[in-house]
Amino acid sequence: MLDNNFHFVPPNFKARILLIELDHISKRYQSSVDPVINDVSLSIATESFIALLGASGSGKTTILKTINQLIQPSSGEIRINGIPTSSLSPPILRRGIGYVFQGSGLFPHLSISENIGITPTLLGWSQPKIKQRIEELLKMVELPQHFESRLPHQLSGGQQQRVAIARALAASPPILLMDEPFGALDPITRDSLGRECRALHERLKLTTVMVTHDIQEALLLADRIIIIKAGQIMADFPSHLALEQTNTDVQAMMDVPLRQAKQLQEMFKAKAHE
Amino acid sequence: MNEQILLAWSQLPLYLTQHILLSASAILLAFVIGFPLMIICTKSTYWRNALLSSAGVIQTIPGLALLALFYPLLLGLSKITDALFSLTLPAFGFLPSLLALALYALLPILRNGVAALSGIDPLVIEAADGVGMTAQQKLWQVELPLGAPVLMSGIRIATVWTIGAATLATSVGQVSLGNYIFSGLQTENWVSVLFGCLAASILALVADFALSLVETGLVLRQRKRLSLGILILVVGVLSALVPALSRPKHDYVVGAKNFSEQFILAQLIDDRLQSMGASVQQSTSLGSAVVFKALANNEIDVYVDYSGTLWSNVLGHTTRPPRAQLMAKLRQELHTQYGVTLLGSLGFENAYVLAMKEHQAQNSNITTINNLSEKAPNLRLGSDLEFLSRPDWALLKSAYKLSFKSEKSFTPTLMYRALESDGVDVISAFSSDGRIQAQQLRILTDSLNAAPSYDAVVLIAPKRANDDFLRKAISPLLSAIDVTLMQEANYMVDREKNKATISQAAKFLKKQLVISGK
Repeated sequence: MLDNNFHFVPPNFKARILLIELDHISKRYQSSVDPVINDVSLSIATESFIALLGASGSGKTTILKTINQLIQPSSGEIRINGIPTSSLSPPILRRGIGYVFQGSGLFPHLSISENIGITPTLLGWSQPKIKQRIEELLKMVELPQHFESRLPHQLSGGQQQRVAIARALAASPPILLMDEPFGALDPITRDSLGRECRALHERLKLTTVMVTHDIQEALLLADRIIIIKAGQIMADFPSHLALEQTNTDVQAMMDVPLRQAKQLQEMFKAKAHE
Repeated sequence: MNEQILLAWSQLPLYLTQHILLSASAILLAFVIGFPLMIICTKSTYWRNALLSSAGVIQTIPGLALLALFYPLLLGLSKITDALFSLTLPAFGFLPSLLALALYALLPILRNGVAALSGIDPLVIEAADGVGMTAQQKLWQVELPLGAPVLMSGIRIATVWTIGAATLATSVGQVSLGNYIFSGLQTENWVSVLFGCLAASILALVADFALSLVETGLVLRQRKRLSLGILILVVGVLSALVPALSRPKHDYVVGAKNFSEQFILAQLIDDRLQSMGASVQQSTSLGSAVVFKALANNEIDVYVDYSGTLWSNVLGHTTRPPRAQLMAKLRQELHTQYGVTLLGSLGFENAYVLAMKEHQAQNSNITTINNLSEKAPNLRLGSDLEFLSRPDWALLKSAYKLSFKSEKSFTPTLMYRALESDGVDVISAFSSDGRIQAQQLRILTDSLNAAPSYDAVVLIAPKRANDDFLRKAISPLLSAIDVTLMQEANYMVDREKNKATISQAAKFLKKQLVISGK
């Protein structure tokens, strides 16, 4: 019954005015006294690229996971285009939202093509259509076609992460959620994959929410940065206005990349004068 | 030696196919039961603890006892289902063996299944949720394939165990490779024991190999390995199934307990029936407690038991009337209580008797138990494992006021050897045992008639009460076998050198009966 119900992504879901609203979301586990997220409200506009930035344990990943119901909030409501997500069955909801896991989360027993094709298969697409889509996606994330039959462990970390992105985008979801997607990669791969991801975001007109602890990555990729601390929103600003923030925590965070950039610049200038 | 291997070889098709069918069905049943339980276990810690510890408790019950327990359990159940739906369950043979072995195989399957499902990387499970799988899809597409290697190793352990434990099914009347082992152990026919052990271990190795192909095929996603493994298993089971299904139904089932004399007498009855044109199946090596119930329940048609055993163990009497009176009462009570017909005595007794080495008895001037009682405080008694705790010993002891210097228990073979090597002076021998003659033992006279009698009697099942064919086949054997003849036949298979097969001993008996004109 679920399988036939793949029209979850309703026409208005893809409408230009796509909006994700988090309305007074809290998450509290019985054992802990302090809530993991505490009364978070947030509106995410269509085609925006949002970075949820914070230290580990700040609750940023928990916020991300409430959007596709990997975590059920204890209170509050999440609406996508006005539809409360709690009114949908979680599998149906999740098939309409791409999700890139921290550390790839590929199925170790499935080939690359089976991994990429999993959501289309769950949605009941025809085999030729799935095959064609896998070819498209491999091209899109710049992996060679002969990777199709390989198993995840036969790929490098960067390649696995590309597959994870291809899998998340397989069923052409309007929304992409990413949890530290480039966390385990070397700096060069990380940079190029980040830029490609941003390009895909624009090309596919996605609404993207990315969790990261790296302000530089957030600044370079996202349009809007939301800083999470102790389960609450501490600051929320457009990336290009980062320098104008008066919040001292934000200023402290900005300090590191700015100082490093300045240091490098001076070092090279000094070398040039020698 | 060669002859014994040939004999064992000729029995292999029947024993092996029965063994394969029993083991395969038990593992399949254990898997069918274990699979849903495994899912329940992963859902709730309460059920996991409860189920795993009950399976663990079952595992601690010795296999032989578990099999024996299923017999009365099924008999009771059968009575209930008979009363409710007039449907009787077979309590003998395949069904109790199947249930006991399946319960036995449950633990490794369940334990490994739970380990398999709960040992999967939580990130992969979350990813399965994240891509939009339902709980069912997650189970079949992610959890089971990833847990398959661990689950399969549980199935492999269960398979090897089950194939080993299935040899015990012989004791509840299910033919298996255990028939070699049970009869071989009793007659000290090591060729037969080794043959059974080897056949069971080769079978276990082959099954394990096929399952390992299935396992690695699943892990490495190699269709060829997987199909080869499955092919070996399917061909193995099918080749066992075809002859089993096409096996003709036998006219008569002859039962026997698990010692040489019983095997020989069952073979003798078998030969008699076959020579008159009936087809016969033997169900040997049955537990003492099982065999009478199987007869009363019409699951076997005929077997030989002993008057004293029936009197106290089956009918539960504690008093001992004189021999002739006991026989008459026994006949009557077996008939009224169980519908079992006591056809008559074979002519010899297999009772506990006290015996000494002939020359030692002569030197000490002991011919009766009365003589013995004076000298007993200086003599050592050796007995089999049961004798000292049986009423027979209590009766003798009190009647003759016996008190030995020491009392030791042995397995029967070791008891005879202990006497021979002067480790003991007096033993509790079996009156029809061939070793009495061979070792030149003197049986001490029980002048007070204190020891109970154990006349060998032929019993037939209720449904055969009016079977003239069966009566006609057996009547030449009644009162025809005297104790020296039985001793001789027993010794043929019990002796250490130049051992005869059961059927050779039975042929010898038959020939002697012809010579004596019976």
